[in-house]
Formats: sequence, structure tokens, C-alpha cells
Amino acid sequence: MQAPVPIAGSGSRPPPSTRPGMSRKARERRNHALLHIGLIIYFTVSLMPFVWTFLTSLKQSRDVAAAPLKIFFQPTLDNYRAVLFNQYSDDSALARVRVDIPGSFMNSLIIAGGATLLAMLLGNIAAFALARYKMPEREVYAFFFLAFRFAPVFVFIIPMFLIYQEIGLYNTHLGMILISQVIAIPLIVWVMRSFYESIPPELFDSAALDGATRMQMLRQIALPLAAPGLAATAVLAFIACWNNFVFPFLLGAKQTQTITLATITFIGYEEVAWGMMTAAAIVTIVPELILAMLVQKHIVRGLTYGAVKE
Amino acid sequence: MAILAPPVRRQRAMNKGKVERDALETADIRAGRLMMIPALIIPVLLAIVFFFGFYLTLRNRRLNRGDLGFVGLENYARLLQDDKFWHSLSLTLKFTLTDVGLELSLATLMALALSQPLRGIRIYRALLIIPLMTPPVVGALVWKVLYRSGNGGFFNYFLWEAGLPMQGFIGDPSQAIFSLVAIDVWLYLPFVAIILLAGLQTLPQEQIDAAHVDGANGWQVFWQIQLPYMIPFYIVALFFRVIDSLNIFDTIYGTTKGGPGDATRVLAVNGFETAFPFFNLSYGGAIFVALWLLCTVAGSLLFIWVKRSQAT
Repeated sequence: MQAPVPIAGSGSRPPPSTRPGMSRKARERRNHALLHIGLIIYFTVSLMPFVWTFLTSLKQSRDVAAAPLKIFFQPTLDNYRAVLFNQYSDDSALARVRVDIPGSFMNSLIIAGGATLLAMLLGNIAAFALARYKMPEREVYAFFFLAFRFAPVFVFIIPMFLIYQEIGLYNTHLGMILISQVIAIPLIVWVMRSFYESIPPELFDSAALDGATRMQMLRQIALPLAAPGLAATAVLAFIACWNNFVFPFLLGAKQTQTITLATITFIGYEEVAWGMMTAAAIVTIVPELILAMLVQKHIVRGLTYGAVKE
Repeated sequence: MAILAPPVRRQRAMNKGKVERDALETADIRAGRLMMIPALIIPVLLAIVFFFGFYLTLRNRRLNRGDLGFVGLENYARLLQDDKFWHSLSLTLKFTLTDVGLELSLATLMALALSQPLRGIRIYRALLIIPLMTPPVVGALVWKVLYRSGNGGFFNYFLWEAGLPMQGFIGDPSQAIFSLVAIDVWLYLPFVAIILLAGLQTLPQEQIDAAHVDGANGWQVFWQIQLPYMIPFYIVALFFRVIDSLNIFDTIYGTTKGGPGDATRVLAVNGFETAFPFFNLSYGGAIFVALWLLCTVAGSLLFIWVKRSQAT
């Protein structure tokens, strides 16, 4: 079979059969079976790292360190007790690795949540203006925002490091929220612009005849109509801020330590606290997955800044 | 502005057939500009910071010793003769080419598979985005667990069981960069796949059916219909993936931190280390200006291509 499996038999009309002995139905069934096998293999490979991470997080430290690898073991919740409730057992050799995961989780929530709220407020007004009003220079604004998505963040981080220490924003939640705008605003402006552009302009024209102000049009027409997109965009902005590693890493210290940063501190110079690290990784990922599943429908548009609509 | 405004107004006036709409239009434009301001404050400040950052690279600013004065373009001259810089540049390009090449080709297969009317397709699509939502640093840690050396490591255990030689993966200088490509492909293949899938789904089925009726086989349909149709979608994917790969930092910092030796010391890792652990903020900054230039050139080329493909 030299033809790639996916295409053959995809038409609703029968493709000219290359094998007269086989009916269209039979060919299609065979192709689909092969596809299922291929996809199942892919997803087994692609999800296996998570499964293994989860299994590792249930191991006692002697099982984690065991060589050869232990596939069957006595599961324990010790690692979760450690990372979720700061209950570190003293008998392990890794007892001195103490990372405040609950505190870091709160920091992540405050920073990603605060940054998303602020950026939604600022970004939506701009997105609406870009979609609705024909400023001759509007593509310049749009391009200016986009430039931040594609500039290496370090170009800002080095000077910001000095500035933050000077003006007292270093290692503060406010500082993290402000710098995170550089991730959240461009995303929100671009994605929401594409949602607002898909609203028929006649709706606004008739509202204008009724004497509605611009802010009323945004609040009473645009926001309700774009509500699903709004939610999806907020979630994606939140995830982008939550996943960020470099800002809290270089512009913050203990007080702003986020959960991604906390997870990496389980790696010591001499040893890695694998069990606790994997438990922390699970704690980091699960909330994001739940959020992501809720907005699956708009994820393509969101991740491509509105360039691709589904 | 004044030069650009007339065509817009004329078009509007023709549409509405009302001249008095001109006044409203002007008010709209003024309001639109006002509404841009809140979102622009922080980005504009950061653009100023960018110039401050560039100015820093013209001085000799040390993290541990303060500002040692103005040096002009000395940091950039040093860059040109720095073997470590050229090594990290070529490593960055090698990483980006392998990474993006693999992602585009594998994602094409994935998108073709998921565009079929399979049973349970929704489950597959939901599963697809899982790695994509993982923080890159955490994704890297997850793979660090799998790559562990000795037969206590996941991959090595199976190699050992099968009687094959165990591998160093991220610990082996010759394999490290490709082991990192594997992590990045795992993270971002779904991203490219969902873009291409969205593209495939907008291709009218009649075109494919008509080709089949004309006797085209699957290969021909792919090369002559689907692939040309999807070019704009490939460009969007390229746009994001090329620039993010050039900037790769998180996954490397979570696994090898540039090692072993210099085997994975890409530009971003090199610049970070120079600026912070080695205290040379100015020289580290110069490395990032070089990286910024690289991204700008790549981004501009792709942007022109996007605009051109949208026009046709």
C-alpha cells in the first residue's frame, strides 16, 4: 500500500478502486482500523511520560532510586503529603529538600490570576477598538503588540532586573503581574480582535442609531456575543502566565516563587528528589488540564493569536 | 495619517451615501485611539526598557562590581571572536531546524489522520492537547525522569532488558541536543497538528472527491490539493515554532542547563549564564541582542510571506 492511509477512502463518493476485489466499505474499515492502531500507538507514547511521572510520584524514595527499575511497587502518598501539606518525613535522605508547594501554588494563582484580570481589562478595550474603529494606523498597533510575542524575553529581563531592584518591584507580586502583561496583553488583543471582528457590524450601527455610547456597545453587545471566546482567551492567558518560568526565576525570589519554579528546586546539585518532584509536577499540570479541557473549542484560535479559526 | 485617511472615508461615504458620516468616522477614530492607550502603556514602557537594555550593552555593567564605564561596541566586537558564541549560535540553528522539521512532518501525518471520520475522534483530539498545556519546564522535568541513566532509568531499563546497550541521552554530549529535540517535539507537535487540522477541515470536500473521480490516488490528492491549500497554515505554524525554538530556554534549563560540556548551550542559555551566573550583564545583553536580531530577521521574513499568502 503506497498511498497514505488517511486519504484513501476519505471521500463520500467511491474512489476508483485499485483493488477490484475489495468493496469500498471493506477498504474503509481496514484503513480506519490501521489508523486507530497508529493513533493508539502515538498516544501511548505521548501520554506515557505523564503516566510514568504519576507512578514515580507514588513511589517511596527507596523504590524511586532502585536499579533496575521497579515497575511494581508498594504505592505511597508520602510524596503528596509532602508537597500538598508540607509534611516532610524525616527518615528520608532527602528530608532536607523542603519546598513550599502550597505557598508557591498560591503565588502562581495570584500572579497568573492577577495578570490575566488586568490584561483582560486593558486588552479587551484595545481589541474592540482595533476590530471596530478604522484608525488608519491600526495595523501598526497590532504589529507592535505582536512584536512582544516574538522578541526574546531576555532582551527585557536584563534591564528589568536592574530597574525592578531600583524601584522596589523586585520579588513582589505586583512586579510579576506587571511584567506578565507582556505575555498576556498581546495574546488577548490579537485573539479578542478576531472574535470582535466576527460580530456583524450592523449590530453596532443600529445600536449607534439608538444612541448607545461606545462603552455600552462593548459591554452590552460585544462582550456578551464574544463570551465563549472571552472565557477561552482568559484561560489561555492564564495558562501562558502560569507556565512562565523566566520572570519569577529572574525578577523574583522567595516571596514570588511560583509553582513551576518550586518544582525545579527539587533538583539538587547532588541528588534529585524524584518522588516529590514528580508529585509537584502533577500538582502543577492538573489544574491547567482541567482549564484547557473547558475551552478546547477555541484553543486553535487562541494559540495562533486569531490567525487560524476553527 | 491625513494621507491615509481619504480612501477609508470615501469608501465609507460611498457605502452609506451620507456625507455627515464623516464626522462620526473622525470621532470613531479618535475614540479608537483613546481606547488603545491603556493596553499600550506597559508595552511602550517596555519598548523604552529595550533601548535601555541596548544602551547597557555599550557599557561594562557587572552584577557583582557595578558599572565599569562606557565601552562602546567592544562587547559586540568580542562577540565576533567568541568561539563559545558561534558554537551556541550554530547549536541554536541546528536545534531549530531539526525541531521544526520534525514537528511539521509528523504533525502533517497527525492532522491527516485526525481529519478522518473515525470513531472516538473527539477523545483523540482531547488527548492531543495534553502535552501542549504542560509548562515547558515541567515537561522537561518529566522527561528527565525518563532519561535517567543506568537501568533505574525508564528508557534505559527497557534497553537493558532487551539486551541493548544503555544510552546516555541528555548525559551524552553527542545525544543531548537530539534528546532535547525529542522533548520539544513531544510538547509542540500537537500545536502544529491542530493548526494543520483546522486548515484541512476548511478544504472543501468536493475538491478531493472531484480529484478522486478524475482518478487521482491518495498521494496525488495530498501533493496537488491538500498541501498547496494548507500553505498559509504551515506558515502560521512556522512563525510560532521557528521563533520559539530560536528562543529555547525553559526545557534546557530544566534538564541539562547547557551541558554536558557545551553540548546544549544554545544562545539563550549562553546569554543567561553570561549575564547572571557569570555576572556580566552587558556581554550577556549583547548575546541577547544578537538573538533578538536573529528572531527579527526570521520573523520579518515569515511575516512578509504570511501577508503574501493572504493576498493570493
